[in-house]
Amino acid sequence: MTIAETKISGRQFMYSIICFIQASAILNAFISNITYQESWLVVIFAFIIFIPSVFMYGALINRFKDKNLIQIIIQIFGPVLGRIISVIYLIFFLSITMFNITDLTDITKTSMLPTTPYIILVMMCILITAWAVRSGLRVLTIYSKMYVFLASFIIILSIIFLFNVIEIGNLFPIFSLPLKKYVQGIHILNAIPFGELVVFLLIAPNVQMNKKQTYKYFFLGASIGAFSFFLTVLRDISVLGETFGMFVFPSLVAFRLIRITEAITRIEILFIVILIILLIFKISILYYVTVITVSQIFNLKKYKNIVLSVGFFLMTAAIVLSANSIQHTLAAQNGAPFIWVTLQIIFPFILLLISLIFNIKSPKEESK
Amino acid sequence: MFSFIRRKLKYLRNRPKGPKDEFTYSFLSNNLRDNIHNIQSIFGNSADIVIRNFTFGKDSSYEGALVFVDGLVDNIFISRSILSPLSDWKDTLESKDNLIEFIEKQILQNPEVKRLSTYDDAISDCLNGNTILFVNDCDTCLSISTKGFEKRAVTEPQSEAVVRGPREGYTENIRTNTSLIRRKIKSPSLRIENYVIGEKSKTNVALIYLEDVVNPDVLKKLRSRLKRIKVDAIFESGVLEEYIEDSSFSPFATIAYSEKPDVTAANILEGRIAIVVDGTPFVITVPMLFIESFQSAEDYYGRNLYTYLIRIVRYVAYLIAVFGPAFYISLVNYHQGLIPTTLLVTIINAREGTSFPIIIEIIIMLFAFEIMREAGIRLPRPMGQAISIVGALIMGEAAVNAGLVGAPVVIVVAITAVASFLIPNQSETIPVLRIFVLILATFAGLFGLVIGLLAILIHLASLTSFGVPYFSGFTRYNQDSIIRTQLKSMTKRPEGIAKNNIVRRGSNMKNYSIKENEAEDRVGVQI
Amino acid sequence: MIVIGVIYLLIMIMDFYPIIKHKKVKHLIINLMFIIPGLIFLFLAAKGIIVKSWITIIWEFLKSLGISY
Repeated sequence: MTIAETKISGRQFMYSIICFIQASAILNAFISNITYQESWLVVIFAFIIFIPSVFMYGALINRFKDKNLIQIIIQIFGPVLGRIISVIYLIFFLSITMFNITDLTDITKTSMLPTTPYIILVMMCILITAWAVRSGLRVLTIYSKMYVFLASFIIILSIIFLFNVIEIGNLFPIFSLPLKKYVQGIHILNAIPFGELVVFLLIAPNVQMNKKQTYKYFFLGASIGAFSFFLTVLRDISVLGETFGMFVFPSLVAFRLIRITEAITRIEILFIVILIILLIFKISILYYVTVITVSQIFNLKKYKNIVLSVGFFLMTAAIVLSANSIQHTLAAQNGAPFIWVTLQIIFPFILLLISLIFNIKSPKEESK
Repeated sequence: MFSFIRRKLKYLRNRPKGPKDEFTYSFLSNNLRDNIHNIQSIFGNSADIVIRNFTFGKDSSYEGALVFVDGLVDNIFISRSILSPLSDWKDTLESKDNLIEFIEKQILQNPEVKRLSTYDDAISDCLNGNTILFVNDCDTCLSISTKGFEKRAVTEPQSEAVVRGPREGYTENIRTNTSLIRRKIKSPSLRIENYVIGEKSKTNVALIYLEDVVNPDVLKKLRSRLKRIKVDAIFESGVLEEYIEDSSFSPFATIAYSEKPDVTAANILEGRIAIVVDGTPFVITVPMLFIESFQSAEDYYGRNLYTYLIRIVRYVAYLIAVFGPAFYISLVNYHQGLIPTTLLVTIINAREGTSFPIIIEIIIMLFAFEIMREAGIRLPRPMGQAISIVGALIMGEAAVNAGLVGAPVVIVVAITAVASFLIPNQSETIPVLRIFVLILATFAGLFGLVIGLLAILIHLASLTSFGVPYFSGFTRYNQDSIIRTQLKSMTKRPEGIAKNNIVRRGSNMKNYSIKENEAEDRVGVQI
Repeated sequence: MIVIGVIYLLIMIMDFYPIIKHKKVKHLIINLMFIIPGLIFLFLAAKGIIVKSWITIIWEFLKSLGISY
């Protein structure tokens, strides 16, 4: 039943989580035009609210060792109902993969390649991630440590280079917005960078770690990731000030202000290249999870045969999606968090509750 | 009846390890004439097979015959060590049964003699340079080692020249090569296993490893892969490499080669297995890691601090060799902002006279370079130099003047080419990867370059060499990868390669100058 | 837009799953399940037809219920 894979180490799992959140850091535009200069505050609150969810995920992983989210759902709800719920999850995973692909291509187009056709970028992205997914989880996560170091390096370096532009005064005033805006900001943050960690429930069975380590690595990963997200937001706000909410990708604008020498005008491209690597990593994780979900729903032993067709679907869907990206962004900002959070936090919580009440465990532990 | 069973058992024990050949495993007969006749018919009267009949003993009562291949044996040695003792022996034995045993034990002074009982063994030994001695009324023969063919002396290797370090290199002879390794590692746990591969060529292949260090999984895999080979001939270790490697479609070689015994010995000490193939001076070692390509013997013989620098230079050179043209093309085509403005003006000026798009320019130059390189390698050395002068000076200059390519492209291709010579072990991967990344960068600039980089990384991560991850050694184990640490602190063998016996040297060797200074201080305090 | 895909998926699961056991057929059907909607999308994109994302649809639905920012 379980998909045969070589197991990855707990540390790699942690680095993957950090990298996953760091990749989302560039997309902080989700809250920038809602909470403006107070976004950094919202990040802190959002993470504090998210902490219980981290432990909830950890508990779920520990309770169902060797089982991923879809297998848990099927075990608890039975084959028919379980599969219907799994299909909802599948659509969810497909969607977030697609959104990340569109984000990646948007960033690339706006920052580096304004004239290249959209389809070439999407195709390249899909081909490379499909190759990574086909190579297995070990290959997928092996470079996560390197990516984390690269991303941290970029954050620190950009702060150093932007030091003369940073104004601490830009971070204030605080608590000046209506309460509803804070709630919305926290809600979105819990859905988009943090709540997406739900995908690691599908990877966890292939990770070698004991019960204590599960909590430790999951929490460390999430908090380090959140901290770098916080740093990014802090940097962008302090550099851009009131204009922070006006841009689609504030980080790109912040990078654009970097001046090392007068001769080189577009040094930010080198920074963006690294962010693109991170986003490709995130997409490949999401892609892997999607494929795993499909193969779990249909009870396949090997997932490699369906990678390319799923990729083709993602590619075409991303192209169609990009045609009305403004409406999509609006919908993702205002409507999506309600559905997202249901799937990411509330539903796993219900699963945990049911399994606790009815004492359902994975069969391996019962036999012991 | 019993003697037949004994012979059968003896035959089964001595059965050769190689694949079955066309001659049948029939036993020698008692009659000398029959034996000689059969041998002659098997060889088909080949011109280089010499059969020397002679008589010996009291009143020349015994008949004998020597069979050997002319050119593979030392003629003087045969007459001195076989023929003259036999003719000096003027005596007789009571029974004829133990004549051959008597000759083996008392007459011959040759250090290596064995008794054979089948045609098959006799013929394969004969073809390996041994002399076969048949005696009348005996159903066994003696195989006497008289190898003495022409061979090259141990000279300085052509492909791996060093400024400092041993200058001996392998030769084409397998025995010389194994002895060169044995001379470096005088440990009794050094094992040499012999294999015979190739149905026609019967090439001798030797595995060399340290029993207590080697990873048994790798050894098991290697043995089974070697046994599975069924080919006509193996002439070079590169041929063998392709038959036993993990993924032959990959541009990366997952088996290392060397021409220097000290390099092979160091690899064996780290737990690798060396494979020596008869007839080639290139010895291959498995398993190989990617970082091995960036290590050179001189890194360990020179100053430590300098090797930091030279290692980093090698890695940078590799990156330039693979990504140089792609980076240039993406800068000029897509990201002009990354080029300093004054340089950009120069590049635009240089490109004014040219008519082709930049990708065509680069491809022309890369292609021309590959042509010249290939011509330079194959030609005799003085001519090769002439080619490089023509190529470098005349063609580069003329191409720019004629408006075929811009001057910056010539510089980029030249730097790329020179950089690729720094890493000879990866020289076969570089052109392939370069073209791949170049195409991606043409389509999508730096984004394409990043995609190419990730593709290479993914491929590297999924490669294995005999089950050992090819791209490992960077993260888990840093004593000898991007930088070479001090030899004193290099206490462990690479983890994936030597599985059981990880520690290679004691960690009690401190920095002596500090220790002695401390001692002096203590003395000072006491006074 | 993805709604098409959703319905499609549901029908496929309910219908074929218990019946088809052969591995290759199963893989083929799953592959087709993704390729056919993909081709439809490609066709739509080529025609320039803008399709509503299912998130947009749900958002509008939620907005009509009053759950929205």
